[in-house]
Amino acid sequence: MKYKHTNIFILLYLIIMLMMSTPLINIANKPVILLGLPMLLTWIVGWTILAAVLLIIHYNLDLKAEKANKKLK
Amino acid sequence: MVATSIIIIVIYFIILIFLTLRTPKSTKETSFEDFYTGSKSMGAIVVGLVMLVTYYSGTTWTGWTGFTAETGIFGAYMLPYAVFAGIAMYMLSGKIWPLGKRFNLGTMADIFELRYRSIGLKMLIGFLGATLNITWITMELVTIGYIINIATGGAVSLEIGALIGVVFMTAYTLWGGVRSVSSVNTFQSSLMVVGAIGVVMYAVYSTYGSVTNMFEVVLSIRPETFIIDGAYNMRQWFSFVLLCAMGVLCYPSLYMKFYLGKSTNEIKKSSIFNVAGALWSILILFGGFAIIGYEAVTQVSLGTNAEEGFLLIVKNSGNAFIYGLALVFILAATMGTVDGTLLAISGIFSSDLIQGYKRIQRKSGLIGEESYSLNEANDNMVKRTRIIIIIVSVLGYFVTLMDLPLLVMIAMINYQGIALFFVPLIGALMWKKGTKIAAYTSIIAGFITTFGLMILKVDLSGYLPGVIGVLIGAVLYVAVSLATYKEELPEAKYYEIIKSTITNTEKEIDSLNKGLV
Repeated sequence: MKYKHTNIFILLYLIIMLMMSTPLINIANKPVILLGLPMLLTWIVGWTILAAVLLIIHYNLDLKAEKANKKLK
Repeated sequence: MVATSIIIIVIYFIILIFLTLRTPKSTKETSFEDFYTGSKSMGAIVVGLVMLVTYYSGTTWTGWTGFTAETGIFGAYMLPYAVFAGIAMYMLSGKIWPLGKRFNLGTMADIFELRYRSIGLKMLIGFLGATLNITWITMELVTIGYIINIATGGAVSLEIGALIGVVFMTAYTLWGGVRSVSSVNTFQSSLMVVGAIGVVMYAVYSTYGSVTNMFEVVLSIRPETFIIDGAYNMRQWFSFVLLCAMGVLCYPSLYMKFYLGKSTNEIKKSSIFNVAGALWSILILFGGFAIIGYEAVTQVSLGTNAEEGFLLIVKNSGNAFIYGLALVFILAATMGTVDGTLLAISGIFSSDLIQGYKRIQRKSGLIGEESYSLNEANDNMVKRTRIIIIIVSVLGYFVTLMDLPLLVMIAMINYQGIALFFVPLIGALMWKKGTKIAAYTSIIAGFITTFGLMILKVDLSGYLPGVIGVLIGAVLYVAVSLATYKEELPEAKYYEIIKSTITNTEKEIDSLNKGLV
């Protein structure tokens, strides 16, 4: 369980780094439209959705861990 | 159009009065903790909505759309910083909430006192935080005055418009403290979210036909607005995201939301809500891009003031209801930011500064010690906080009457100062070797660096002075901590207490508070 938690945190840190360095990423910083939005915006929106999903997964893992701890106590 | 706007705004104010009156009025018996944090009793949806309306102020719909119209896609920096802040809040909630519950904490400065064992440091944090946060009140009051002014077709002046907003907000904040503020803000936040979706989509579809068409028009006339070009702008982007993310967590009006929830899990859920809520903020970008391509599509000029552009588009659409809805959701967003800020700052003045001073005079114990007592019953902290709410409102109103530069720029100056608290805060919660002297050094040196660079207008090739300030503050925090750390220091001992509190369950904390364990 802890292993999964750590992996999710690593992914979240990566997302933050990718979003912060967006202008440096050539494929994101282009004057084109993708999925109806400017490429850079689509890039950021994609990572935002992924971050929210990862947090939900992390939260559910946390709840499971809490229940397991209570049973042990 | 004016009549419809006035009717919608009057209905809005009637709802505010109704929501305020149905909240229990705080009395002489109300404790400061209850007045300021609602005794940590709120659910995730309320906390999430209250946070959202504090985060996305009314200025967003004037300043930020205008900023996007001028800088293009650069305005999207709000998404990364909201995600960054939401993730950090999620991670920190498991540490900050249990401490707040166990030691009855209300402000960020309380954590500094608890961990670094210093009332002086608490007062410094309180003073700087309140001073920097107070400018938000001024900025937002300008927006309130502006909205009421245009809603009434100029019949109500900017000054009187701002005054009406101040009177309402002060009244419902005084009524029930954070409980009435939360009740009103839940409504204001819902209105802001739904209203913005309806109005922005209407404005975009009625002008361009679709969102994609709008971007295609902008791409054909100003492709440079789709990219962040050049090293200078890239450094600016990095600075904006970093400082805003660090700053937003430390803003008194947002930090206090950590203590509104009834459990760590409620705060975690509200953090997730805010990360997902960042997606809503792309509407602000739509508003900005709608301004850029408007003249090309309609042959109608929006004038030179980009901050007024979005509302002009809605007005020009000719739909009185949508225009009234636009004005009222911006008003709701503004009021929702100011009331929380007003309460946060007043609480800081009352609890961190005045009470802190009194405790130094009395030589009372520090948070966590048996001799510690906030002495709220004797000192009438709620009454004092109420008086300060009135004083801050009046002062904020008078500053509003002065000329102010571009609102986003004022916000950035604030963020650069507030972000300097981030490193010592994280150190307090996660690093045993962090010391009081290091926290003082980091904050003071960071402020001198940041504001020194600002005043001297040093060219940093795109980096904002706050980034250098945070960097110097962080290096000094680590270096001074390593140089001054000793096992027997009180702050080192309290780190262990903090660590054990964080691992306690909510039931165990309740038992500790009742003295059962």
